[in-house]
Amino acid sequence: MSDLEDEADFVIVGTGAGGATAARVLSAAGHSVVMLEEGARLVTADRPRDLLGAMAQAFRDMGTNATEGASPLPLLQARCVGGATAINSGIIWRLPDEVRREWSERRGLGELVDERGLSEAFDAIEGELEITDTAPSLWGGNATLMARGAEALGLVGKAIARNASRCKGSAQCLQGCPGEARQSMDVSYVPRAIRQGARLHARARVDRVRFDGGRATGVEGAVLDAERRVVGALRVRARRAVIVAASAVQSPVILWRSGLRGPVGETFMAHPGCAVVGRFDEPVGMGFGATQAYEVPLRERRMKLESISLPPEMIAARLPGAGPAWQERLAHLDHVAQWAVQVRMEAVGRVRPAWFGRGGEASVRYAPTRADMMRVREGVATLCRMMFAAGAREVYPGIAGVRSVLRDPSEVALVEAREHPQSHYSMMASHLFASCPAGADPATSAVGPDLAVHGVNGLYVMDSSALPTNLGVNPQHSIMGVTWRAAERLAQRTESAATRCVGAVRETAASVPLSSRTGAA
Amino acid sequence: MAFTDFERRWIVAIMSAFTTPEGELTVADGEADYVYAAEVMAAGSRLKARVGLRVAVWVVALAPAWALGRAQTLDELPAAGRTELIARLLDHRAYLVRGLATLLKLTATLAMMRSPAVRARSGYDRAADARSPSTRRALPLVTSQGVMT
Repeated sequence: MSDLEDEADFVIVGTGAGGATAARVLSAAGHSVVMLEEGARLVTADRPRDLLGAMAQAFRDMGTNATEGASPLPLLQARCVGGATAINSGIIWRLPDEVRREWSERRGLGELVDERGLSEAFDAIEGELEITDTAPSLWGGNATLMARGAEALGLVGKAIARNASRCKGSAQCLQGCPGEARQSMDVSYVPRAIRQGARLHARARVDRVRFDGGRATGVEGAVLDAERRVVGALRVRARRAVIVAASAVQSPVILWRSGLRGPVGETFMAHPGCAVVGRFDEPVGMGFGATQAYEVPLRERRMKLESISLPPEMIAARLPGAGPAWQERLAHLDHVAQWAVQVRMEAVGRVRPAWFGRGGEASVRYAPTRADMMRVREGVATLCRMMFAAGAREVYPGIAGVRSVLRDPSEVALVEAREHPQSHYSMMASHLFASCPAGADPATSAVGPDLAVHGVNGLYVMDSSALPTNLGVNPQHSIMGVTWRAAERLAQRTESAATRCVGAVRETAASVPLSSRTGAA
Repeated sequence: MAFTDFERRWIVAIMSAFTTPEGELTVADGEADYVYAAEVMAAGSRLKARVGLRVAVWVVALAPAWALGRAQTLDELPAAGRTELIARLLDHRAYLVRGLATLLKLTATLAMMRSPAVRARSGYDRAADARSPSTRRALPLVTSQGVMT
């Protein structure tokens, strides 16, 4: 056995956009910080370039997690230092102002998402993570054709802003940027926090938070080996606070396993989407250029269209059929383009610990509404039209029950001819939110305006689960910005409280005894 | 949850049937390690997905019986018959069947593209400078700073 015991002012569970940002801010303020990450710390040079190896190393459960029910929706999550930022395309969007205002006015988060304060946090992050619009020289054929299609249909698109100013266009974000140009958390805020004195324990799975007299005092869980077998017990003591930042699926599970109830896990939201593939006479070269470089935001229609270059394994599986027709298409993967639609769905789901699971294993119930599926259909139809407008010879809409190969723009009407259930699409969701939503009212929110769990001292949630709603844009920058604000204010409060010698943990009027809100004794 | 010998035989029969020797992009015997890909998938997945992968293998392997009414397993069909049946399962009206067949197709492509030779034949990595000038032409670019050219 190799048990792990440690102690710090702040114990942070998770090293994705939220956890790493909290570590960066709190360690810079002079606090001792321990970061705990269930996955491994990956060395860029050792990350496999084939998708099977990449998935085995960095994806949670090989990407096979899905929602419950008759039509499971795959939930793509990472499990490694850096979290999802280590496998995503580094897309940067500031929190849309209408969403910020809604959170401020309807959720009582005015101070947390104060316009000026949040803008300063975004400025700081954008400077540190080298945010730039993707230069045209890095668009590659996939994004360039998408721009052509959008232009032809009169849609307003733009270059995607990313945290990768030194991008060389290798189209390997999913496998880990080979040149470490993408400033994912594993190559930016995690090492920065370590330089500032923080400690990182990878393969350290947190199962629950420990309490003492209504105050979070640490976490316990398991130490894992490379095969994810338990090789020891984990106990880390928090002198000031525990910050849970394990994702919108795993954070509520950890809180549940810790005995917390109420709104925890009750309001899970997402941006599910699906992709359309097209074949062009001219070479596309999806393997060259930024993984994602061009987007068409359609916020009023609650959707966003994006170019997305994926590894050949995924594209091959997405091409229709089997046998000679499939093999003929497979032999021309350099002529294939892929674009996706992500929908800001109105559906609200629920997250619970899995019955027989351990650690963060979860059961997620989530069903898109009819209106959500209408938007998916609208998005797919729009992408099909864009493909033809850009010059596609064949378009593969990927909807069961609809002709698998469209050869003429008029055939897009087949997509729109009737409603298609979720099970007819090849959908997935990677933007997950709101399972521990922030708000002033403890009846409808799990954490307060400072992201402290209602009714518990010394326990915070700082990741996408604390965002009160989904956003309609890629979330990592909003997660970082909101976390930056919350962590900065926590550092200030902790400092002033320590100065006054009245203890290190906040006490608010909203605080109530832990036993009244938890199943824990 | 290791696969049994006959499950391994089924895995090879199923996954190699996505391609035929007559197709444009062929996969030679031994070029793709389908069993390895299935084992990695199973080992890295949570219990429900591991069970799902095994169920997929059984459902597709026994498809000649329940889909064609023949007392055979898929590996006992002639090669062309296997491919034809698998193509039918990929478009099956039942979501479960379609989904399980697609899971096996993804696993097959994970195995195929691990082979540098197969990947090269797919053209995915064909040199950037071979791309059409028309796709590389500079387009007006709308950025947060305005329109650039």
